[in-house]
Amino acid sequence: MKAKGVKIEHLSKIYPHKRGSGKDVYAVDDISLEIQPGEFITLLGPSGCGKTTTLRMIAGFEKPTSGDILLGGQSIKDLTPDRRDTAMVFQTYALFPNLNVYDNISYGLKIKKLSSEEIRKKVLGILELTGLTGLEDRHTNELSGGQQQRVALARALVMEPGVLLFDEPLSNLDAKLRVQMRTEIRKIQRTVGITAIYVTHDQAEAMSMSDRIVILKDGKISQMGTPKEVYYSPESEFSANFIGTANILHGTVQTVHPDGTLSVALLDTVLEHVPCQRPHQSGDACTLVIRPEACSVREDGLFQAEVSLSTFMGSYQLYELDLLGSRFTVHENNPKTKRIYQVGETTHLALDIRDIHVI
Amino acid sequence: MKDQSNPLIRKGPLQDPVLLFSIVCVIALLLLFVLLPLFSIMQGSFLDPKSGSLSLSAYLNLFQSNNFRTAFGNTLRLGITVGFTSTVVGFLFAYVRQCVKSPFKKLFSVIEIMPIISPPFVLALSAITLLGRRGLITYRLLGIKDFDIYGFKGLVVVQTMVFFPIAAMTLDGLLENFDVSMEEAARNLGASRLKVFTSVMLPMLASGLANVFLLSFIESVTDFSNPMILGGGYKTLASQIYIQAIGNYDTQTGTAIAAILLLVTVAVFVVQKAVLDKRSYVTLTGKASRTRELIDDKHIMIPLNLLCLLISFWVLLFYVFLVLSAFFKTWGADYTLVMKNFNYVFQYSMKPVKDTLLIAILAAPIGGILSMVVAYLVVRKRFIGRRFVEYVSMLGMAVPGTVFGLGYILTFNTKPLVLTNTLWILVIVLVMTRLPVGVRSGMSALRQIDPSIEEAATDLGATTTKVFSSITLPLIRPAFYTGLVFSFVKSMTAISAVIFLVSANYNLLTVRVMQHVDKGQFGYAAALSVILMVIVFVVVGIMNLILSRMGHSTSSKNLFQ
Repeated sequence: MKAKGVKIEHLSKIYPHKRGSGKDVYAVDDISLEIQPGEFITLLGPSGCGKTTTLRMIAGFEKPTSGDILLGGQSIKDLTPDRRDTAMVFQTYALFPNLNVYDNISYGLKIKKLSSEEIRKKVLGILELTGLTGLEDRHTNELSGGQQQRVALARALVMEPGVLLFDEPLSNLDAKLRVQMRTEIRKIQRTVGITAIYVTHDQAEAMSMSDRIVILKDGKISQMGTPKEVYYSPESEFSANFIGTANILHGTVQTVHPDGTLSVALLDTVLEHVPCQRPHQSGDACTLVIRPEACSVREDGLFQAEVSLSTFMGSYQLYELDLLGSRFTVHENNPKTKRIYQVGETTHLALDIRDIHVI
Repeated sequence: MKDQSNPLIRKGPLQDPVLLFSIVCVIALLLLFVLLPLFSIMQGSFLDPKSGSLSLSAYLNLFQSNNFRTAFGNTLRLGITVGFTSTVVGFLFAYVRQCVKSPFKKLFSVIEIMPIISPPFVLALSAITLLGRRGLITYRLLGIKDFDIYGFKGLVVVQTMVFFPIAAMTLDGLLENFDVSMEEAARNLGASRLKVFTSVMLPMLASGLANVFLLSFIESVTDFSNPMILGGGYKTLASQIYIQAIGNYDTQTGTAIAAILLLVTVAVFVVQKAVLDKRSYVTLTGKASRTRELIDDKHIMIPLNLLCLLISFWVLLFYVFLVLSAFFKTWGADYTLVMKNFNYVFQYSMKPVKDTLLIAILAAPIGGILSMVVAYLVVRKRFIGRRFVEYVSMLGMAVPGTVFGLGYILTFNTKPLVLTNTLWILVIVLVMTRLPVGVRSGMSALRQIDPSIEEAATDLGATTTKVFSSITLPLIRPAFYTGLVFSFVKSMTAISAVIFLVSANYNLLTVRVMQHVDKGQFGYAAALSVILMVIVFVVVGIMNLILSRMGHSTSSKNLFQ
């Protein structure tokens, strides 16, 4: 199997305005992106952000308004979907209900006119890889949701495409199975070494599976990076809020230290040596992102706080604090042996300066 | 709801010769065999036969003629009355089937199916046997002399019997999808059963009922054979078209009446479409969350069941006496059972039997495949002219058979395309008049298929043709087979359009029956009708058997939902 790189150049999809509204809809707005061979990349965003449209343009189901798509260095923009070296796993699985498992998986190979000998070998191989051995004679309606998902994956994989496309493939499964399948998909993708583009709105899925995450908003790329990068260094409030939960506080830069760290006036204190990747000048307003699991509620700390919500969540105690009028969420991990503060108590918020991210 | 059109269309017809070819063919067929005949009607009605110049004389004469004004009023009055009665009886049957406990549901379904698969005029024949001037019930049993079944009352009775089953099946589908939890919520809030019925069910079904009323109205006003047989002095537009154009050789008047009738049906059809669009909030609630608790309250169950039983026996009585009257020695006088009528028709009418079978066997698969292709193009493809194909293929639903028949004669009697006196003109008119029903059922079958299934096939390298043959067609096969059976039945029993188009070369059974009726030979007419029904039952039985062996079940019900 030869994994291919995908290059997306200034891709746009504009739907002409409907009568009355007077505005064109920019479903995808000038997206450029390069995906390495064998990379697992996730397009993540809320509904309507253009992630599915982008994927469908790569598959050839939607025609781009402008821009180009290259697969393995070749433009595929003008190819019809059946002639593109892509294979897609659909949200609804889209298994052929009139065919059994074997015939579903071998469907594309037969169109390629491979010998039945070869088809058999490939199908059996892929059945084993996806853990479906023994189910080849089953009808699609005799399969569980997870099995149907595997058949959909096997049917796409067996084509040995240059790139594998996933359109929210796990959204129809229950929570437990979803977690199990995402590890499995990632494992198979690694084994085969195929390039994969994965569309989802589930940030946990994106974090756990991807080499890189592309966060989309209103048809534009909001941020792109490894899961760690997008989690710890969000470039916007939107990214910070979309991936995980985040406390967003607004402060003012007081001094920029020679080592790049900042002094930031926040609420009633000044924080010293706050790390920062972006250039700032003193007097700038800045946004501080602090993850709830990076803080704790204690007798002593940076800020005085009043507890407005205290809920036991099992693996952590969820606090909502009133920080001089700002709401602040804290996940106090493993609360079993810790002192639990009740609603109305006045206490302190403690955090490590290094856990603050400045936008 | 997602856009149902499959985006592989973006591929565009130009890149796919097979697709382009089918689109061009379909558009050509629709232009030639739907629009051109209607255009000929319009042309004929505006053309002075003597001078050949444009003139409104036909319409002016019509509006001045008492005869026409009476026929126009008669048609509307009959349509409205039958629309109402069919809806009421249809609703009764649908309600009992879906909501009330009943041990007779099998019988009721048979009663609903019978009028749909038998020729439209058989009940009128029986009506004369049973209720005519020398009818078995009216004259023999009750001793009423000169009871007049001919005219408005007779037509209402017979048309209601013929058209209520379609109303029942449509409403059946509506009730089946009616979410029980809404009724339960009303009961829970303290409403009595009657209150639930009047305050929840009827308002929710109002647009559905209106739709069924309009459908029945169209059925009634376009009905040709019953007014011909039972009308007597009560003239209606559909039969007047035939009488004027064929009986009186007055094409101009015939076409003008046809144009006016067409205007009426198209207008009602447009209203019906609008009503149908409005009702979507009922059907879109989807499958009922749970199965309905059937009403077993004796005060409701017994009267409703009795009422349905009574109607069922009444319908059955007509069928039994149709068969019996085929055996009566002298119709209306000597009720000894003999084979005389059958001997006669076996001797003189075997050619129409063979022609009818041949034509139906040709028309059914051609119509079936054409409907599926049209449905596929309309639902799944994007091309210039898609709306045109959709609307024109559906237009046939609003065009009365007699209008079609007359249009075909006018269009295909002269060069460049002479088809009259051939077998093909009959096949084509049957295909085209049945097209709307086939296309509609094909479209609803296709809409139930997730478009991404077809996308998946394309994604795996299948061309449009390959996707259609390997995925789409197998998935809509049940609708296809049902359509096949239905279109065979309708081809065997059709009368209104084909009566214009039969010739010395090719005569049809139904037309032959009408010819016997015209001459007062009711015995022969009944015998031929029985033969026709036997053929239909046998063929439908065999087809169903084959299909159930293949694992498909068909029911005419699917076609009306």
